[in-house]
Amino acid sequence: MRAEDEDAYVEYVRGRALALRRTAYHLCGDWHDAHDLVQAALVRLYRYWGRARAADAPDAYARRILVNVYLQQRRSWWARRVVPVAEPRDAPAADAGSDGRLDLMAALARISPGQRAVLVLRYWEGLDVAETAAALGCSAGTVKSQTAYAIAALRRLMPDYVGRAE
Amino acid sequence: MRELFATAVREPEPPLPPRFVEEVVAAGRRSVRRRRAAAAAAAAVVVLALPFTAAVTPALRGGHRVAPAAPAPGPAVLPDRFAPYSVLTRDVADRPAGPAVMIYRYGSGELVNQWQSLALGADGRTYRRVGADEDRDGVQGWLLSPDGTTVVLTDVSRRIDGFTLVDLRTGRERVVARAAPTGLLPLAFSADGRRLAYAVVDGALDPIISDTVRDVATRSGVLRVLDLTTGESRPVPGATPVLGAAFAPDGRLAVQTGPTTIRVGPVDGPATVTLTVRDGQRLVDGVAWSPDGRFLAVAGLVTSFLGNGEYEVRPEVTFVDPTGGAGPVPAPVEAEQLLGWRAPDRVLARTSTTEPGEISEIPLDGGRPTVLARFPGGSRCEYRSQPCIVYDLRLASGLVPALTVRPAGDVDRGPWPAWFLLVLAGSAVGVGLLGFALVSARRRRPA
Repeated sequence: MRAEDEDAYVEYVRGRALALRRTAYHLCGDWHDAHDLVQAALVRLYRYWGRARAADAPDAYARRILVNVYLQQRRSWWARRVVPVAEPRDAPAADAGSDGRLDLMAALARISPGQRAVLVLRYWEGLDVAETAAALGCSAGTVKSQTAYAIAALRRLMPDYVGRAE
Repeated sequence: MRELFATAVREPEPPLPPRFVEEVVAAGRRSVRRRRAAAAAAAAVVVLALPFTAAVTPALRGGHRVAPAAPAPGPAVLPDRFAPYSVLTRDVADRPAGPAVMIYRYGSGELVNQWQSLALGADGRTYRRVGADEDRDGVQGWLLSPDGTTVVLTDVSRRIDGFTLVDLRTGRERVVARAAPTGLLPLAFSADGRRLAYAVVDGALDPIISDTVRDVATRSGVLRVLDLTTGESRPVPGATPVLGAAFAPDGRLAVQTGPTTIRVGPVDGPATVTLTVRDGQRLVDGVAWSPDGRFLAVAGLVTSFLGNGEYEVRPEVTFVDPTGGAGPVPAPVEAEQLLGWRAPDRVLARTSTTEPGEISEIPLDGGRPTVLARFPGGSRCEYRSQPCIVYDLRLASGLVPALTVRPAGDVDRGPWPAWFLLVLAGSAVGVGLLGFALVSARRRRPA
């Protein structure tokens, strides 16, 4: 990489690392994992920085890399065998907050990584359907359907709160 | 739903560790280097695997079926430089390549026996091993048919059941002149390739004391002619013993029956002419007759005394009038071996102005010889430790008149042998695994 490109990359990372780590945290639910996740994504971004820099929105490029890294890790051999949380259940999550509000992070941990990514990008990152589809590398229709499935899953896990929120 | 996410409980956000950006940049650089190394390793594997794939694909498609090779169109070609020794040359039985312009034995045996019996295709660039010859024990003798399609093989050190004929177009072999085990020596093809003159001996063979079939034939051999189309074999009346033989263009036969005697006559009748040559001169087997039947070639060594007790021995080809008269004949030419006739006034011969020799065209009017094709010099045999030696060289006599000479180009030795493909594939896998191991080791290294 040329020095000029690397300077631009460093500047980007300094400015966006925290935001990307926050997204990573929303995706994985753990700051330590989020740190590893964002580091892996930024290393990959380094390799493709020329392409990302040339893109209209480097953020979208970086976000897509982050989501890909997250999904790939969740699909990996290790992730499939070392499940950090219990399998999703139809029963409501037990770890409700002290004020009766259910812990959203615990519920998100129990749905599939893809559906979680859809919810995180749409409702935490505030992306619209098209932007979410771009970040996930899928069609808008898939985003809509996965959003519906994810909300349905959340409703099963958090019947009272999700029902009220909607 | 957005409200739910906005109010979600989450752990306090820790600060980024110090030097986070620097570590990310360093890891990015390592990642780029690893990918470049992996790409280089992959490219190396591809480069090594490509020839393997290219070679094995037709082999997989065609298996080991032996397809008849089409004869090369146009006149036969001689390269101006013959290909060097190579262990990768395929066997004619596996990959027949059509008629040959030349057969020769090539190699060295100083420390390691590395000999090959080779057929050079009429296209001038296709080389094949005649494995049926290499696999035989004992001392071999061979001939190439005038059209270059057939090699006759024999073992001149022991009694055998018949000649082995190798069809260079198909790689197939068949045995002819079947008889009770006896000593057989092929000497000459007729111009049309239909008949084969050969010597038969019944005496004891002991190659240890030089009693090969050829030696015994000079004392008690009987000349026979085999019709290759019918398989019928007949003795030539009065043709015994046998020191050499050659068919005339008109079908007559010249047979040297003594150190100084050559009889000329029909195949099935008594001699009509008896010629006298100098002791030590031998009728050139197979190609002694000029195309117009006017000359007969004999070969021998000539000793020249240089004075001061020094002398020089030169190989010489001399021409005689086959009618027994005193007709004009060309002057002798210096040559190791007469190989064929380009025209009644020009011959091809093996000469040795340089090691390990060359094939030259020699005009019979006293003009200077022209070197047409050279054998590669230098130490190319026995793992490049010894010079290669050429011997038992035969040309397809019927292809010689129209023979053209072209600069040596790409050499076709046939697809690489299976053992070499295995070595190559093993090397490719080894390089791939090494590259993978290196990349993996770098990847595992802590940031």
